[in-house]
Amino acid sequence: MKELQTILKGCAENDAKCQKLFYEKYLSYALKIAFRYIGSYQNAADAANDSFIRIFKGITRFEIRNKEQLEPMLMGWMRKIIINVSIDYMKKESLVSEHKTLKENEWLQADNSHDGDNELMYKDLVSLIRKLSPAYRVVFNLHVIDGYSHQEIARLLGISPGTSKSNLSKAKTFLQKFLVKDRKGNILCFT
Amino acid sequence: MFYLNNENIEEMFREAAEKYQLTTDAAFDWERIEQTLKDERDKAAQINQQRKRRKRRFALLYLLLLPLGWFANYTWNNYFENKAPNKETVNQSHIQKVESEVKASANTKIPKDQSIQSLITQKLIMQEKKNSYLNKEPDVNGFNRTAQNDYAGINNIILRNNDYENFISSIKKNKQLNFPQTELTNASDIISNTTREKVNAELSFEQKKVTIKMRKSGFYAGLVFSPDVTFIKFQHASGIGSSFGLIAGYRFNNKWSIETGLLSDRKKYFTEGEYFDKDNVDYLQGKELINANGKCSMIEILLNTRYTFAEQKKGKWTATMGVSTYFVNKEFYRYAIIENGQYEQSDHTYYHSGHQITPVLNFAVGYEHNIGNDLDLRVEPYYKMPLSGMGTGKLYLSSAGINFGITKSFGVR
Repeated sequence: MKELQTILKGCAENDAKCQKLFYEKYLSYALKIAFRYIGSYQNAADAANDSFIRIFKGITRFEIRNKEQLEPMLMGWMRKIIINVSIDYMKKESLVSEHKTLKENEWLQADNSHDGDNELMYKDLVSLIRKLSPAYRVVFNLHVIDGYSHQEIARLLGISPGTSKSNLSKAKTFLQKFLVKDRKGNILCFT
Repeated sequence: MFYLNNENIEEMFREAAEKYQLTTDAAFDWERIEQTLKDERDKAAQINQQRKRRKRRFALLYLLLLPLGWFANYTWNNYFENKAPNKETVNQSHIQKVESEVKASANTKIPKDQSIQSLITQKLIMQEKKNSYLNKEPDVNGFNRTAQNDYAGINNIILRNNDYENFISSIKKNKQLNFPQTELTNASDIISNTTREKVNAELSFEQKKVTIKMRKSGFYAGLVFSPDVTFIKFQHASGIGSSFGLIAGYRFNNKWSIETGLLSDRKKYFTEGEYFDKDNVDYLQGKELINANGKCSMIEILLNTRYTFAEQKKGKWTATMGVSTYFVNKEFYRYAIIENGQYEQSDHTYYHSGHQITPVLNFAVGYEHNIGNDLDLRVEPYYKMPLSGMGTGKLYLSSAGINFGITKSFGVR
């Protein structure tokens, strides 16, 4: 915890070494969030890197209110920035119709000794999210995964709360078609 | 087999989003981030440098305004002094005239064979001349009295040095006039010195009287109204705002006073998008802000020190410096943006419940005129320099305007 505090202090003072350590530590986290929204690895990588520029520029505004909860608070603060940057990126690049297949080497290889089946299922589920159209995908990510309210989504995307609710409902209906449970309780995912 | 319900789906996706893994090797691009941050820092340093230069220019301008105020005061004083007759000059000229006449008469060598009758005639002519001169005196405050005193002084000296009885008996004894030349010359010097001392004493007495009258301390309070122009980073203004409120102060002496006030401000301003901080506005995320026209209402609390650098009978010139704090209540913005290549305008209002505090520096130079009954009218051009960004867009609002105010003094000693 103290190490993280030191890194944060260094980042606030524009210390390049601390910034690099911070970047290495949280790149994976940023990339995962950006990827859920953008759906393309390369674009998600660009958005994640842009997010770090914004994080470093605004890190002096991050308040350490509770030292015990420093990392969760920091990650929550970063998450908002990454989501904003990702949405900006989607709008800017007009990624409306882009549905590229993710190369197998861009997924981290599942470790069979450690709950490998689940890892495969996570990969399938995230691939399912990518199948959603951008408008549905953004609302689904914001509401279901990142916990935004419909009012917040409406303000962020410039749509009405009704549209947000409607998009979410359609997204869920779409996803349900690919997910079934057998009699033994196993979830089958058709991607 | 059956489909999953909503709750199952949400929980499952949350877990998957948290636990799925991606390789970061291809995404790792620290060099680009480092270079971008360096460029941003250089740009920020350059902007800071420009800001500092602008602040310095303004400080210099303010310093240049001070001599201007002094010059205005000087011109004002001269204008009124030229209209009224200059007491000292008039006194001096009269003194010189009297002195020259007395000296001339004293230096006149009277021929030895001049008769007593002619001497008496000459003395009488002088006396008559003196009387006619006194009757012609202009009616200037205190001047008649001064001139008469001068003549009384001259008369006394003349009488002391040329005592009439001694003079007649001396003539009778010697049968001829033998004026003590040097003695008379000395007498004229004494006349001159005595006259000057008397006039100077009288003038200094009047000056002291004024100084005592000017020295005062006590409280004052009043109303102030200011038309106000607001601009950001020396861009053009968007209209005329206003400021209205109460002020109160304490005058320590005839030079220094401290003043506070509570004002209600309404400001109008314009800014290009580059000076508007979009971080606090969700609507602007991902959009290019071209410009913004803003209005805001806020409460201003001020604390100023005033220095009187020139005082007159009915007014005084003051220089003011201090700080104000804005408590922003409400902001309205009309944003001009480009989104997906389309130009749009959008209106937004923000309510802050007065919790946003913004400090500014105040500078003013003005004139205060006494209209009687301890009431003063003031006209005071001012400039307010921002010390931090204000409101939603963290805008650096500079304001300039003119304070028109009326104040009443209480318990002035």
